[in-house]
Amino acid sequence: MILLRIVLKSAWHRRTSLLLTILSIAISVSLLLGVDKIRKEAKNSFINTISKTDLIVGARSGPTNLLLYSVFHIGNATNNVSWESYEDIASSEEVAWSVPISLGDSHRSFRVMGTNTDYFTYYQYGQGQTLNFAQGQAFTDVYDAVIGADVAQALDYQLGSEIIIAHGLVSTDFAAHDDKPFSLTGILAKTGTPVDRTVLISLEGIEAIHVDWQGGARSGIELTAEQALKMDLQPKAITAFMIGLTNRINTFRLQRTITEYEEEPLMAIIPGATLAELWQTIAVFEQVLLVISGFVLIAGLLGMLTMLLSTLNERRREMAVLRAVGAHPYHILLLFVLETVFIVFIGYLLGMGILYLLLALTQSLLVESYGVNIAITPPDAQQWILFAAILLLSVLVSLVPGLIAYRRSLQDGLAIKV
Amino acid sequence: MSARVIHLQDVRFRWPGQEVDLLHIPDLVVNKGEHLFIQGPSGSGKTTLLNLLTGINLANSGSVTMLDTPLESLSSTRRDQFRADHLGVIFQQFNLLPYLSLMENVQLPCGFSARKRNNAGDMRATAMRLLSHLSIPETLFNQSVSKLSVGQQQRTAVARALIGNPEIVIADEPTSALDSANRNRFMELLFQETEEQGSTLVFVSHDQQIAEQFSHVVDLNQINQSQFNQPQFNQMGHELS
Amino acid sequence: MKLGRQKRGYCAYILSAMTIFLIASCGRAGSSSDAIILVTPSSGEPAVAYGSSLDEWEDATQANADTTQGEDVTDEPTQSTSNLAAPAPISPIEPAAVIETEIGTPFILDNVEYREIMWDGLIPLDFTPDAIMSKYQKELDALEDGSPEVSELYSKMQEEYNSAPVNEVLNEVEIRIPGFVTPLDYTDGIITEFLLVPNLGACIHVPPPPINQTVLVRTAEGHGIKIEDSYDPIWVMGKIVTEGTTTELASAGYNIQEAIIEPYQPVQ
Repeated sequence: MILLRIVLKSAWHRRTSLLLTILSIAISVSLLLGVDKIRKEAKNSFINTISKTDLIVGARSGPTNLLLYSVFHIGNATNNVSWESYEDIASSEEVAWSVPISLGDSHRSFRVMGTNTDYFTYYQYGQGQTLNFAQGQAFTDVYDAVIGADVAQALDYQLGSEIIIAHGLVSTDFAAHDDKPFSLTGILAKTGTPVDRTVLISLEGIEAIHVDWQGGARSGIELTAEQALKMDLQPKAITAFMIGLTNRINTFRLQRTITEYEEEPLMAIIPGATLAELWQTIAVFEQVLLVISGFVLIAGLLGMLTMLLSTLNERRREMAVLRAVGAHPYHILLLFVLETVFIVFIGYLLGMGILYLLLALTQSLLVESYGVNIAITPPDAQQWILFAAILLLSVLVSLVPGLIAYRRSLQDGLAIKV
Repeated sequence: MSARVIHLQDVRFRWPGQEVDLLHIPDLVVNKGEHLFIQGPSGSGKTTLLNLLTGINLANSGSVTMLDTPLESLSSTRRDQFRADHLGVIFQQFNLLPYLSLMENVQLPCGFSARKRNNAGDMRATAMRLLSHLSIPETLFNQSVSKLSVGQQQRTAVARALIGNPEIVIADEPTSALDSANRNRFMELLFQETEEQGSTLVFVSHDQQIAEQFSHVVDLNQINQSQFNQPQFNQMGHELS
Repeated sequence: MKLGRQKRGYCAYILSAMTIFLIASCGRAGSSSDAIILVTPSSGEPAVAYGSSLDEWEDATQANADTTQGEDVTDEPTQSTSNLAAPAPISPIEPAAVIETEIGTPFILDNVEYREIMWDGLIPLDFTPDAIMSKYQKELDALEDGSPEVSELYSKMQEEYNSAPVNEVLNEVEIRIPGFVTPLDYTDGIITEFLLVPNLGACIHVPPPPINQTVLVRTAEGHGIKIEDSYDPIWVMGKIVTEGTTTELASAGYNIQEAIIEPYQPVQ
């Protein structure tokens, strides 16, 4: 169609200024889609991480905090849980199973978690799936380690590889337990949860590497790996523990009991409920982010409108020529609509492209730093609807210069004001 | 089809808000193949007359009949289509769209008129032929219009006005921006091409020298019976100082 | 004519504002109604606070086991009590007949008749606040106002309320009950198993409800609850099952499998 050709040629003629407009729209689209994508993916990551665990117990802090560090390995515990308290509570009649965990160390930016082999039996995620080994098996020896799928892939480990645990969350030479290397005995299958990015060792292993550490630093007396084995490696404290109940009806009762445990300040959370709470909090931020993105988009569209309006005067002659050749004022209007839709269409596609490129580049970084895995998937139905809505909005925006040009072309006729 | 290509009968026109008619033309006839020169200085309403002839505006009363079709009987869309199908228009300057090549500019009317498209047949060939006749070098055909001199631009405008064999060609001061050499060449080629196609030419200008080349000359101030005749007014009916 | 086109321009502006609104609402994380109705556990009585330490709790449970030992719950319905409709004389152990007269209006959905019931209906008749109150009335009257023995007695009464068992009369009855959700299990962001409680606040930190004021619910296919909506009150419809006996701590409790969920609309 002749109009389309005219629009495209005209746009190409003014490509420099149009490019900037397209870019601004692209960036705002990237932001909008990016926020939408991240919130959806983050939610999915969170939601499928743990299931079938009735209570999680830790030192008293905030429920969200406990959930985040015990399950997602985000953040830190403020205090520990003594082994006595753990055994006391775990032996209650309501408790069907319990799994102790100990956090605080790391291996080359991956979190190290101390636990016992019950973890592999009782930890479930997604729709009640338990952990499977892709290779090897759980730890049997004090210095055995098991790693998640992402750790294996990132560090290219095989069974038997040597692992040095670092004290604290950052790997440094001076804070490493390098005199007590661990040996890899198992690699877990991919779960899509933070377990993939975790190094698992036994509780005794945690004790062994800290046996000669006092107050966060190595003490003068160093013990070798074998010497450490001779010490009593019964853990004295853990970070938190997970509980499964014989009857879920007792959830509140046991939760209350633990909260009021006299021996030590403890807290028990119902993961499902705390997750819902976290969700609601995040929802508020989500809304804010989306509104901001919406405004950025509007700013982009207004910029485009400014550009179109500013060119109106120059294009009066163009309009007169077209009128002379037989164009109706409606054609003139249509020119502006087509051009605007074209700009926004290209801008949207470019924005999507930028987003996917960014995601591809930062995906692994996000996973490591924030425990959030953003899958690179094609846009969902909601995002296509957004596309349509934005195109519709651009049509409305185009009516501003379009109608002005329409009116003017009626008034001007063939007279070109020199 | 009668020989009367254009017939104005008791045409009156004023812009909204004007108290008196800007134009009142009791009678104007143009026959087929004729070359009409309408003489009128700026502000005499010649632009308005052109608007009426091209169907941009409708007369308030009276009849503007082109090719046996009274324009007042057509809706605005139909009038635009009529113009697209049967007319070719040449302006004083800035005739060409800067973002189309020469060839694309010349072929532009065919995009708006099926009749012209059919008449032109092989549009590229026809365009090239017209441009050659109008002494435009072939190397410029696919170039941007900014590479053309003013004279070349105006002659290209002729080619565009003539593609597809429109019955009527309307030229609004097409030589005002040209020097005398270019002007002469322009007029020569214009006459040549319109005669070759059998088109009727309506040429509006204030330049009396050119008038001598025309068989039929009309002074707008004489045929325009409106009271605005003597002083000079702009289109809104406001007196020019 | 010109004015018409201007009006068109203004309409365009209004439309664009609406479209922006549409875009913004497309991105909203799902809507949830703001209606919150607190369904209090007892008729007019304030919610009781609960005892604290493990020891006290064990004592109270032991005391409860002592008092209820040997009682056959199904004999109770012959008493008329305040929070239920006036019953006709009932012959024992005819659950259908009992429900007809004691528990509320029928509600039919998909050819299943559900009996609407409130939370106080889940309390066995001799453990309702009134019943406990009347049980200890004489003792209470005998004590001096403000004396420490009065507080002790109240604690004891609270313990008894806390450790009240389930109402066996309701076993295998199709009921319809409103409440709030404490999520337990999810599938892809949809809650499939949860604890139904009478108060929103009961979910997290405040004193937990007694066994008979909690229902473990597993939703039927397609009736899961979205996380975004988990704070809204709902109607739960299904067959309620009372597990086990009251003597041991760990096994008692109300259970509904294959529950149908509907949103709870406040009655104005």
